[in-house]
Amino acid sequence: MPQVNTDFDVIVVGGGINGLTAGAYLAKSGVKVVVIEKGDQIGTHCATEEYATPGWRQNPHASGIWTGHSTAMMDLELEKFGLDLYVPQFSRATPYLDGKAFAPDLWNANRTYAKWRKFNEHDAKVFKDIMNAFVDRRQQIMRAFVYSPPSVENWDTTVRLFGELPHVPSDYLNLTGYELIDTLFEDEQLKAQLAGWQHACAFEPFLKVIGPIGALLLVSSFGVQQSIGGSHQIPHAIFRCLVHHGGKVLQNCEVTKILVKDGVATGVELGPHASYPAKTLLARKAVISNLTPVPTFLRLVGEDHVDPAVARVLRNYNYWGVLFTAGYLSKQEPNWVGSEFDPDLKKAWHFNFGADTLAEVQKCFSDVDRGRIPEKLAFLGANFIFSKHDPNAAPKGLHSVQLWAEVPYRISRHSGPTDWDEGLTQDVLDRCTARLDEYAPGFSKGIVDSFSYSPLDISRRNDSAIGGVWSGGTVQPGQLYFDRPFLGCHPPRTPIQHLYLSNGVWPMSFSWLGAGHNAALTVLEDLGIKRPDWWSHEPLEWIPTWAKRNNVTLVPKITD
Amino acid sequence: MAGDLDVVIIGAGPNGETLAAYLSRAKAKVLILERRDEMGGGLATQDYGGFRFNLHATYMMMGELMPPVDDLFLAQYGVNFIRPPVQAAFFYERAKALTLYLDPKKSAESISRLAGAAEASKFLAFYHDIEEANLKCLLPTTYRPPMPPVELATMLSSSEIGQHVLEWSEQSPIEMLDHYEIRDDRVRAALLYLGCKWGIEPDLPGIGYMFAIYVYRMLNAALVGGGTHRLNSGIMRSAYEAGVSVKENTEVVKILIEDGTAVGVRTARGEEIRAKAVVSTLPPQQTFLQMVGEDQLEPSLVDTLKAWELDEWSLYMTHLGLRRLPKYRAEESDPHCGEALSQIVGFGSSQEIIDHWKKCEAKELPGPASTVTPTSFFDPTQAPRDGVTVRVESEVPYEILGSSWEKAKKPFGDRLVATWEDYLSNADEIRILKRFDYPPTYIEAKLPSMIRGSIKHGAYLPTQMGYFRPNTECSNYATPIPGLYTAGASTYPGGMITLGPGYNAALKIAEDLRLNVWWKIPKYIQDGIDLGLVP
Repeated sequence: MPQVNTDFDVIVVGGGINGLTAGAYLAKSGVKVVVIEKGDQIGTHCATEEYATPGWRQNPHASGIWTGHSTAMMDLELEKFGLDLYVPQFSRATPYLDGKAFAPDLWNANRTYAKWRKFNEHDAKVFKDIMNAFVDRRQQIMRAFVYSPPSVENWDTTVRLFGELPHVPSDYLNLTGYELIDTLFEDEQLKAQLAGWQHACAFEPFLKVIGPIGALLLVSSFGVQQSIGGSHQIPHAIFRCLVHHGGKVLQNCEVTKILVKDGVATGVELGPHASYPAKTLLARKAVISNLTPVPTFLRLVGEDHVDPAVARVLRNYNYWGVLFTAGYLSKQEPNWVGSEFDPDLKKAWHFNFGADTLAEVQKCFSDVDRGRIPEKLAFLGANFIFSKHDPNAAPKGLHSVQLWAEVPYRISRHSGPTDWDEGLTQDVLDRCTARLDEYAPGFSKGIVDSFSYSPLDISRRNDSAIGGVWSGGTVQPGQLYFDRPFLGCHPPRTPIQHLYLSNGVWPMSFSWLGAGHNAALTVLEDLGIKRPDWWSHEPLEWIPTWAKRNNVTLVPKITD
Repeated sequence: MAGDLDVVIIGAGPNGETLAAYLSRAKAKVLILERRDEMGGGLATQDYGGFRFNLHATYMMMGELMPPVDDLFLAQYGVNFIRPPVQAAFFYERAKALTLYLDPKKSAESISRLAGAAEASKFLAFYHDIEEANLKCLLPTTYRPPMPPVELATMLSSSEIGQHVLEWSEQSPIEMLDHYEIRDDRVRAALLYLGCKWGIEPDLPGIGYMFAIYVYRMLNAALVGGGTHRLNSGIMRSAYEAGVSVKENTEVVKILIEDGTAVGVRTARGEEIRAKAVVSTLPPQQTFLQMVGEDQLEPSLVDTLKAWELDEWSLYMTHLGLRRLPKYRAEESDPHCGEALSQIVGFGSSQEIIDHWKKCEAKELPGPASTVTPTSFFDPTQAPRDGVTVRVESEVPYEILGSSWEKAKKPFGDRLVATWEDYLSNADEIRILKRFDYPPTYIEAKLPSMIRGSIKHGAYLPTQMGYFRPNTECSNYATPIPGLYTAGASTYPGGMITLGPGYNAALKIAEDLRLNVWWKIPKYIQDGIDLGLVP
């Protein structure tokens, strides 16, 4: 086997789900592509592991799955390649300590509307108007905002579509998310729920522009899916599609260098422990980096090939926004407070809880900002009962419950993240358990096993996830939309010719598979290849087909 | 997918995958059904925050000698073997070691330092014989169909090496050591442990040749770069490119028999998948008694199947993520002992090893002796940049009288770690950052084909080895039921990730289905055949 491999048109650095998606789209379009992954497993942020009792499958990273919204579901035939997604009826349920609860029905908007009315008639009316107008626009919004590369045209379309929603002030981009929520709604608990969900999804509500857009997107959010068998089935399915169409994947191969000659990316070099024989791979057409911006430019490209101003921006790149995972194997499901108020809470699989008022949400994140474990831990964004719709998630008769607590990566009173090695992990796990007991009294009595996964674990496993970040970099001014990852980058293109990004760009992570789709779209365009007919470019087509197949009647608009 | 399948394979372990890759390259349409969400069976590497724990198999005892390595282009698919020059170190007291190398001359130097030159030369004589027998006869035989014992004896008796093997076949491991006059108990203990570790009884006559195989394999073991799951990925990559399909999260509950012939399987979800041949990689009880059903079997076969014996021991492992590489006190006198792949601590004499096994048989927790492997010392990719991955394992009973693994799991691990730390010069620096205790009950829970933690699907007894594995009616991978084959660790040549069962079964099934046997017998095996040492 020669030391230099010249077989490929496109090299993708990093076998995360967006890198695989970019690779699969290109391979299916007839491009010769190879994806190179440092780790043993592809799809690191879609891992499924058995960290404790065997047969108890945890998804320590992506858990609630957005892949069902993706163009790739149909374009890449992910179901044919083994992906089995379930669309749960009750997601994002919230128990409140005062005995109230809110469990939106994602199959039937009328029922969700009725639940809003139990809290506040005015808010329910606002919700109804926004939701109904949003439903008419959501495919357009998703296409422009997520499944197209950032452009002036797509931005204008997105801003206009959100701005057309009822009750939205004309200067809404000038408001923070908090302010918009405050303008639209009256009820404190509903406001807290929305703001918390926004924080958790990295649509930071304390910011202008992304804050109000995030608020509107999440008011009318369509909920997340569960990957039956575990989230890792997603990379498995994309991988099989990629291989089926002639693509290659090299695992256990660390890329140590992206080769750049005269401002053009020409290939990659592999590290000394790489498991494949060739140590240099040349890319005839393009290199796509699925790593986050700092490792891509400062580690692999190297500062010699990066404009000094860009290097400076990158050295200050913000990777804020991490999660601590606590998992429980239990004899019973949590018996939530508020289950009498809203019995659907018992049927829900996905929860937000721990911050009952807007002030509590803000206090939690202000603690995190200052490098403190929040006094009152909040679990916003993704807490799951994996065994709810997937009997394989836990051994027979037991339940799998997982919490994500918002925490800082570094604890300010000490020097670094190694506090997580020094007893902090156990301490936070214990506090998670105690906090869960407040919202689900007696839950801890049924626990038979537990596990924890700290932000340090995340960054040790995946050193592209600097500071344990899940989003590929904080979504904030200077790291948003066109400017993401940095001003002058024109993502997914970069200042280096033939080098593209499929991560750390807009749209941010999740399991939308948007960034991978957009990178492939752009590379194809630059190669002068016409988009093939099978590439529909239409998001949100899969969910109605799933519903039809499963005899689920979806009621997306409120008619009551 | 259904309807036009040639072969459906139950279980995506190393043998099922190997079989699938060979048959699909022979143009058969092959589907593997796997109960778990992840493939690989015992080739399981799991990432604990950058610390890669190989939860089942750690090292490969055949390495590049496995024919699938070349036939399936595994190097191109990223399978690399790392063969540490220092293979095993046996620690005595707190600060002495006997170190065994790939190079027997270096081993002899270490033996000479500890036990004198005479003992070293006896070791060399022993090693010379077992090496020759392994390379020319025993290892190549792994990848040939099993031969009935009388024919085998006839074949072997015609050469000197063959006669050695036949002599050993009569002896027990202890008798073999006596035969080579290895008297120093420290050397005896080290060899006895290495040769018997995987379930060979030290005083059971009739399996001495297995002892020769295991001593040799344990001194020529290799890690797979990146973790053992890499071998699974490599085989599967090769299999995918040849068109193999896999369905995970799919448990088979029934093998469908029509008119006495196996025609397919039924899954737990009720789906029926039909194929020309059904291959089970599970142990005989599960294949026949659970999935075929006694009503489809001759009573005599049912009796035989029910008499199938599992191992009386299993493994306990504690997987550790450390801050620093462990250093041994014995490194002062024997500088390379800390670089060994297998670092054996806690045994003082060969009697203690024998007692260890007896305790396992008596369902008592044995003393805190263990084999330690600092995986990331050999392969830095198996730990984060700021850490070290270490595996500590001990042979234990599946069942503990008067207790349970749920209760004993943590205290037993504590004892193993404390005992090991006693041998270290930097015990206060290593710092345990991650620890995952893995008792035999977990082995069975994760991989139910390892019933009662029996990692080889069935004990290595003279009556369950070679041509008799799993029994004469099911020898050579076929079964009394047309269309049904077996190809797991319960078939010849047994467990331990040799890929032998899958490889040999591929030949049998390809011949039966009249597929093109596209692969060639590797040279070292052909040489053995030509010498009359290999069937």
